[in-house]
Amino acid sequence: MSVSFRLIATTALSFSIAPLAMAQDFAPSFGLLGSTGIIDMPSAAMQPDGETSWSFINNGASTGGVLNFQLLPNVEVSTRIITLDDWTGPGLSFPDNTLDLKLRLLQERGNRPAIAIGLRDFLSNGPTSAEYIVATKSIGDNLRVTAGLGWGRLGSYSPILSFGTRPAVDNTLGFGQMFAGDAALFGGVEWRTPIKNLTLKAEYSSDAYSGEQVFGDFERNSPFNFGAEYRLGSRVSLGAYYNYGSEIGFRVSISGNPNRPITPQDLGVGPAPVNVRHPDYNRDVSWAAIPQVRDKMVGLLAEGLKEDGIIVQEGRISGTMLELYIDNTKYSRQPMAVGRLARVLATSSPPSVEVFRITLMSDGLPTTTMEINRADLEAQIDRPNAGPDSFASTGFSSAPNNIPGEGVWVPDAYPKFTWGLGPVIPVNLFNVDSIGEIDLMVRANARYRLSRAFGLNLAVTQKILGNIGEGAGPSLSPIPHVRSDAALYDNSGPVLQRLTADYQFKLTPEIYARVSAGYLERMFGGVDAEILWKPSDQNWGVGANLAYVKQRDFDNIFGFQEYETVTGFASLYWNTGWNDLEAQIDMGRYLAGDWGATFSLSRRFTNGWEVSAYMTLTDVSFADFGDGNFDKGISLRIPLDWTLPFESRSATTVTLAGYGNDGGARLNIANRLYPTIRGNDTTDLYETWGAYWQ
Amino acid sequence: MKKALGALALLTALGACTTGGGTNPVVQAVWQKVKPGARAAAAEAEAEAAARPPIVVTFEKIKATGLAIIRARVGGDTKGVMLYARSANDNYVTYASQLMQTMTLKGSLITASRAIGYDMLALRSDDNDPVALPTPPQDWPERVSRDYRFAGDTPGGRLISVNCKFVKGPGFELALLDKTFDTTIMQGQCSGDGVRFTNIHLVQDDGQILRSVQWIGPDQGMVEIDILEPFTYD
Repeated sequence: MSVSFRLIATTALSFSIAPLAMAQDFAPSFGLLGSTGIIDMPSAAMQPDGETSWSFINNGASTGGVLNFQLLPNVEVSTRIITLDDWTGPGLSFPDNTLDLKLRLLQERGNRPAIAIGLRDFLSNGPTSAEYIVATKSIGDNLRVTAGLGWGRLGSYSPILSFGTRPAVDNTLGFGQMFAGDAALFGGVEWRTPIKNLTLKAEYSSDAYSGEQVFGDFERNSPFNFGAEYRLGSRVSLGAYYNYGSEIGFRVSISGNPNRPITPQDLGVGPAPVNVRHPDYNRDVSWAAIPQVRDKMVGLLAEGLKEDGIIVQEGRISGTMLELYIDNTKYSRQPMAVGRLARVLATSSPPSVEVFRITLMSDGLPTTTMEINRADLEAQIDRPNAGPDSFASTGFSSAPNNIPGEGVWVPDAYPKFTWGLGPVIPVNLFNVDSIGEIDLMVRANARYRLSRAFGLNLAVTQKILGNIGEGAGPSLSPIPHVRSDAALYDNSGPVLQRLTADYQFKLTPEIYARVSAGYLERMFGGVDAEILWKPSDQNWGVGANLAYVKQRDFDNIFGFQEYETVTGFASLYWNTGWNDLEAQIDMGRYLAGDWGATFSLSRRFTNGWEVSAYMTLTDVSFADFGDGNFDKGISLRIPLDWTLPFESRSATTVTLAGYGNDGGARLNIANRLYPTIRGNDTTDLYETWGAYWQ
Repeated sequence: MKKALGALALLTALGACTTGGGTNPVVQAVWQKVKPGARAAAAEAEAEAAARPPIVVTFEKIKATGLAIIRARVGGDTKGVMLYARSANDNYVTYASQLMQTMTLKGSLITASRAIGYDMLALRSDDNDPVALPTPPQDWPERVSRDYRFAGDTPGGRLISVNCKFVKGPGFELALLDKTFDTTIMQGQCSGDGVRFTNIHLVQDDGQILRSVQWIGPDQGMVEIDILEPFTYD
């Protein structure tokens, strides 16, 4: 045999892999608006589930940014923050902040095209509001054809049908405009060229661009648009366009997907191999009668676990049971910490110990206790069905504030000082004069913990660069200036963002409580008390908080102004358990004394990626509220270990939210209870339990 | 807005500085590389390693250890990494490298891997799977089914089920360490749930597999293992 094994193997592999590589799909592409589509026109194609992208766009008549998120496999949402040039007069731009939604009704299958229905700027009847129904069909491997019917802007050129009268654009909240008025046909083609990563596009647009032509130089000479898209790897795409017979446009998009980490996720150190206890092992429990032995065993165990990022806060061992309250400071998914800990316990505990009770803690709060039978663990380890079997055999319960009873080992850990340093990137979207304001700041946190429950917290920021609030004039808001005087706060040097004494504890195994006092946030200080009922085996919870606060001084770091108020909310939290979606409603009295509700929806992936959006409606009128009409925002949280090949619980968060609006303003409390404990309930543990044996 | 775009593009890099409290792992890793003396120490260790005579591994030396040992190669690695048997549960034997990367084998079938890139959580195969149960080449079944579990949401993770068809190939003289062995090439052509791959095994007449190239996941791809000293309960 002259041919080498490696060659045989390589040849065989080539044959087996090649057909799969050839069958690579014609990936859906972004249009000039930063969402999935042709150029200006939408298509029924969808991005991969969870795909998140940020696009910078310019079409000659508007400029802006778009955050596009594949919320569910068949639901795409986009928020566009664009400036419409020469909209309200020559040289006068209009900031348009919109939320778009596209729902795929049918996937492409056989001869059937994909069909989607979409709403552009669906929360307000603004200048870019439009609705459409669209169908997209692939023809062969490299051609995609789209045709659709549009309303609003997408029905403004050569309409073929009319569905009543569409209300005039007034940029206010409402749904009366949907699918009303003229409707027009649009369509286009996308061709994947033989040149790798290059796609060419052409479309017939049903957008008349009427508004853009009133005051400016913009001319729409043709309904035909043409474009070319080039992908640089899987995360960057560039688009260049010749549109309307008159304008050049371009787009730059950066994408990420929680399901496609940048680096391999499972590098480093594997879990401890476990051997089943031999039946002949001595299971005598007489050693457990000596308290010093018990304490020594738990103490040594705690010391050893520190190296793996597991901090034992309380522990107790008896002849047959080992109980631990732990902080997981390393693993992004809690079951991974629990599984690795269980393996260590199985290899290091006396053979007589039959039960491990592991309680996950979060910021000093015990959350869920998992009871693991050692014999079950031994029967499951390495076996094919270990994942489902281990979840089924683990008992879950709400943890009390402390391990009940006598003989509990507690480390000599307090007082304890910890610190951290990181960037903060606030972004202001909703400023009529200047969109896309952004700051880059460094934030230093320090904590002096006097006990597990009580600590002093300090946060100081230093602005590095940015333009948020620059050029802001005096606030003309007719309601109390709880946020609109933001530009008056001195940020020339280090800023004291927080200096609080915080006490958090559990009243019962299912009820959490917190009291915070001091300088709660940049603009307010006072006292805030919160309570949360959230059994660990329940996917919803109810909470309430009440605060008495005074407005802080503009330049005196410790001083206060005259304004004081009582603010408080009742909150409902619901982890739907469906596609990682979570919902939250907060109803109550806001800082300016206005009453209303905040609705939040987020998708939190099991690896920690989270995209969330909120909107607040209060009894403050749109006119009194100012820019944006009502408070709304989006935040994106990217876990550090998505980008790096080792475990970490750190993350970066970018919040795109309103700035300087008084209506719907809430206290920025850093340690609210639900976000602190939500990752440890049974619903979350079920979702992430796949990591238990990793 | 350009600043916003730039900031978001830099987000990942900046994330390295974010900390949930205490010293950041990235900062720690960088510090270990750049701290005073680190570079000199690394160069010294490298020079020492280069000066050492190469270690020639023989079957006699392996036997003398009294350990069950496999050698694994992943990706472009040509040298391979030795893994030593650390635990045995039922017929599942877990081998670990010095850096605690682990592979679990049932017979010669890789049923799990940890910390080598993308974990394979578990593998179920038919009772007559000849890779898991030593079987002379002429007695290999025509087909078996396997269920691979990979990291994913929910306790079951991501399941990929495949059917594997075995094809007997020509004989092959395998040079392994200081010996040569007469083996038969056996192919396992597997497909199902959107994946297709071919495992290759070099099998002795008694059914013992000495070398094997096996698929351990859509992200990880293939791994090559040499069974240098099989595990026994003796």
